[in-house]
Amino acid sequence: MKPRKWLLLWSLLLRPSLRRPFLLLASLLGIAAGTAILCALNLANQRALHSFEVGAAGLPGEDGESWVQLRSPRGRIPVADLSPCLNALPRGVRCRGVLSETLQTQQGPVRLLGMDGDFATAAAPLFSSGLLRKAPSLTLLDGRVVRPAATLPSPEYLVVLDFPEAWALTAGRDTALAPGYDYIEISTSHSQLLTQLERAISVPVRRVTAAQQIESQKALTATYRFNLRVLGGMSILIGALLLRNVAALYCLLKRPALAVLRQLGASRRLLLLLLLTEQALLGLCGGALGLLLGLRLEAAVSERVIQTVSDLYVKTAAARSELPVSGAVLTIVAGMGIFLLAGAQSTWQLASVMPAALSKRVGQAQDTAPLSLRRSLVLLLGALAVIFAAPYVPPVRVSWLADAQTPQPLFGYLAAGAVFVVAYALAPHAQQLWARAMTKVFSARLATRFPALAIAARRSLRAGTRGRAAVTTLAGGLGLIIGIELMVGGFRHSLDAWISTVFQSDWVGDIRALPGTETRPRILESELHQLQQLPGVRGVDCILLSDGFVIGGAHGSKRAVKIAGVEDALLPDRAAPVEPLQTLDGRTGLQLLQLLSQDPRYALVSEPLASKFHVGPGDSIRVELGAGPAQQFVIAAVTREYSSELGFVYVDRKLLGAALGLDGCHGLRVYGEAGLTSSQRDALLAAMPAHNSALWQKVRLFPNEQVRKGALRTFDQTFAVTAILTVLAALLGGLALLVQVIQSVAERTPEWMSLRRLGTSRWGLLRLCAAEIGLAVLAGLSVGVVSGALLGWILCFAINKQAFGWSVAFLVPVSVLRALILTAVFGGALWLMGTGLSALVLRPADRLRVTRE
Amino acid sequence: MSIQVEQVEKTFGSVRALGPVGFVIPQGTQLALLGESGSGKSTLLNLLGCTEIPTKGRVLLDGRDTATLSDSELSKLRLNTLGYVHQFFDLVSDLSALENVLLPQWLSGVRDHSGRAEQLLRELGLGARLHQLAANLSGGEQQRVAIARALVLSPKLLLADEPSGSLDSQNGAQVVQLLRQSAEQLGATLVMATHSQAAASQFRYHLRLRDGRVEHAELPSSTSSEGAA
Repeated sequence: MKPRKWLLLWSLLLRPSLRRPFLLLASLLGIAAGTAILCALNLANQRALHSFEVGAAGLPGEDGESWVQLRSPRGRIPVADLSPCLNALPRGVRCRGVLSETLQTQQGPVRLLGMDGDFATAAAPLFSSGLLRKAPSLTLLDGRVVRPAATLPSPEYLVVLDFPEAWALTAGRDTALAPGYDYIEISTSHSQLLTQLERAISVPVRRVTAAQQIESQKALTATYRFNLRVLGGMSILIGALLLRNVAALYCLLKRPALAVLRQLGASRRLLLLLLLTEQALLGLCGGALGLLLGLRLEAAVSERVIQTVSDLYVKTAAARSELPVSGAVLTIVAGMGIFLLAGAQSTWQLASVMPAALSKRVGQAQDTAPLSLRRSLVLLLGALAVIFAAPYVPPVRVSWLADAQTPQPLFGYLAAGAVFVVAYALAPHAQQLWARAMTKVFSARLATRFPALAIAARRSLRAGTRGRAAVTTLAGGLGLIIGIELMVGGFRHSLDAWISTVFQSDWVGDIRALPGTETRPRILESELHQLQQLPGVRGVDCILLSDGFVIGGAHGSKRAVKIAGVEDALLPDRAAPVEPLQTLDGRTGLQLLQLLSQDPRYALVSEPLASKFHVGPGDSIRVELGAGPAQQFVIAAVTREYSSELGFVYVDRKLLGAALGLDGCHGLRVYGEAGLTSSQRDALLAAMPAHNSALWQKVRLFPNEQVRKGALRTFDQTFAVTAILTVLAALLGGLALLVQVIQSVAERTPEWMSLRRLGTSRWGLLRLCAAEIGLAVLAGLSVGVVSGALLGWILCFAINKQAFGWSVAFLVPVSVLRALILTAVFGGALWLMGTGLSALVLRPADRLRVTRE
Repeated sequence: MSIQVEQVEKTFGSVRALGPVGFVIPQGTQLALLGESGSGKSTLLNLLGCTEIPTKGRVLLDGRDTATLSDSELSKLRLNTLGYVHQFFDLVSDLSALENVLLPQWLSGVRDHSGRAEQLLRELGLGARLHQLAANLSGGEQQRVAIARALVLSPKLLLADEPSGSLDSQNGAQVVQLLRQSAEQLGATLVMATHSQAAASQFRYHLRLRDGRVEHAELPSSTSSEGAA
């Protein structure tokens, strides 16, 4: 750009901006907020992704090598089985047996890897760098201390030991079991050799590659990450609305100076260049500020994300993501880009009008386009068509957004965007409706008693599209809050109802095998019988778990699912711990469980699985149970299930046990005698460990209340990220409203001065402002309620249903009403404060600035 | 600069603001454009000043049809050939008096080696107010700054839209006198819209508009055509 253009830029645009520090600050904060969300979400996503990878992979630092894990669904692989592998592979370091455990320490749970056949463990104990930052040494629960001899780079809390030492640490509770590996890792690209080694191992094994593990984790969490990104995108959109208002205000304030320039002969191109350069400079400063804010914000968001990932998917403790220089530059450029795009319409409009039109007074220059009912109707019908079609449009694969091949409800989110179009289309009409009603109420006779309301109503009636931006901003923000509240409230209500069914009040406690033992049951059949014999115990429900695949369904594809082997209810007089949604022949939950044990051809499937595979009662599915060939089942019922979005297939426990070659179970529920008091229940819980101390070394007991609270806490934590984003969106909405206030003050000042000269008192002017704002708030509220209801409907019946496959109740919780009132009061007060205060300080003697500003 | 207006009409939506009108103003003519409020004076000046394009008909400036020119060509024409003085001065309030006058030079890329902007302001009696912000000047001072700005690039056509409308009679008369003298020195055509008979009486040629049409014309030759009452 030539020096004279810089001179023009500085004199006409930048210097005047510096003279309006509040507006400048609001603009910079607006840009910064948008950029900060972008930066924080990007980093949080990276961190989440990193966490999944850390959780899924074994030891870090070996990416790119062709490692294959051989795992046995039956239990640990005997130590002796490592020898044929080492013999077959002359470079022994490429083959190692691994024991993977969660070690309980006084510093918290730590992942323990015990390795055999690897030189890396010669320097053991190895502490990960992440663990070392947290604890210089580990103290076990029995007082033993483990100190590091060397370190390895990993953000996870991890300790690596030589296999015998690791076994010794875990042997305290596993004395009855023979030593063995959880898996054997082999690095080879020869498939023939692998097959040969598989045959050499004495127990059946399945191959799992690191890439498969990571992909499986990615698929598991794809929906979560997709939702995170889309929510972030929506927050950025709201931020863009704010920036659009900021840019519009800038253009409004620059209008007189630009009008002079145009009349003097400045070309449209020059004007565009000046405006865009100014916006780019502002965007650059705001973007840099946003980057700093974003790094701060990321810490808060990431903590929630990692916590949720740990609670729901993979136990992990990934370190903070580093932002590379290129990423920082890209973030700033993105912030600048958002501002330029958001302001593009206003800038183009300002630069493209003829000079004579440009030089009209500010008050005349505002958007007074007549309200077109036809245009609004077209917009409204189009948006409603998208919204109501959303539940019927199948999800699509968007790997670039979710980092996995899992279909996502993209159309649902498009419908969520269409809700804001509804708000935009309805806003001026709602304002007109209210104004018409008020005009009728404050007719000529009442107008003299309530002049402010009468004037405000008549003015709003003729406002055309003038108040659209403010009402849409208010309605959009309110709609977002109401919609999310509806979904979260409905979801929590549904979850609570499900928990009451599944975790019934008459069971005493949940006994689960300790973590890290997914491939081997530790509660054996004999121990089960012992538990049943305990005084005060009325019965037990057993569950045997496995990871498997469902083949077929409408997609004809193969997807990972959870397999649960369940027991026939032992107590016919109590309610079944399953909630059937659709059943074959109208059977009850209890009858369905009896059916499974009587006829092994039948299975139950959870709602997410049924919805992903488009199957229902009476349909057949082929299931790989985790070992052995795939089996065909007839679906007897679809049940409600909120614990896994992957989906569950319930079969008879004995059937699953036979397929896996196992007896016993992974978890069981203990029911007390009828009429058990809370103190008796506590006594029973306390008596259990004493009765069989060997069993209690390998299981953990969860009292009923703890399980229920834990489930709800996890739910609340999952939505904590949503809550953070909602608060951010609300803050951005508030800022947008503030900018709207400044804009309306700039537009209305000449009119207010005329009214003051005519004899309107300060309080009269304030009353007028209050009446006008009241009308706009009423319009915003009514449109906001409609938008919120629509958004809630989409979230419940399209997005949530397609993303997770869960049915959610559509309820209006009290929190929605609270949000409604709070938003209206807060928004109205903010608006009135800004506008009214400006009106209050006006004096009748203030002269109209002859320079038309 | 010679002006030729042929069958010109200007409508805003369904409202006809001007026309049809037609006349010719030879180069160097000083013309008072008369008429009541809403008679179409400002619209006509906007058409002559290339800030509006006629809905029908042609406006020819030195033989160039303004409707056929691109935005860039119109901008160049306004910058290098026209000087426009408005009733409300249209100064940039955030710039000083001197900077406002320098603005056309900044736009055209002409360097003010001779200090013409400053000299003009001094000649107009604003030597002591050069660095005052425009917003802090009185109405008369602002109008003189606007005149200096219109003259700084020595235009061939000087347009003034009620330049004395917001000034007292003494200041108003001074401003009109100043405009006439400047136009004469530059050999420029001057068209000044006014509803003041006193101001109009200083001009030899007159054009009176009524409801968007020419009601009466006194021009160097009898050039008023279709549309004249």
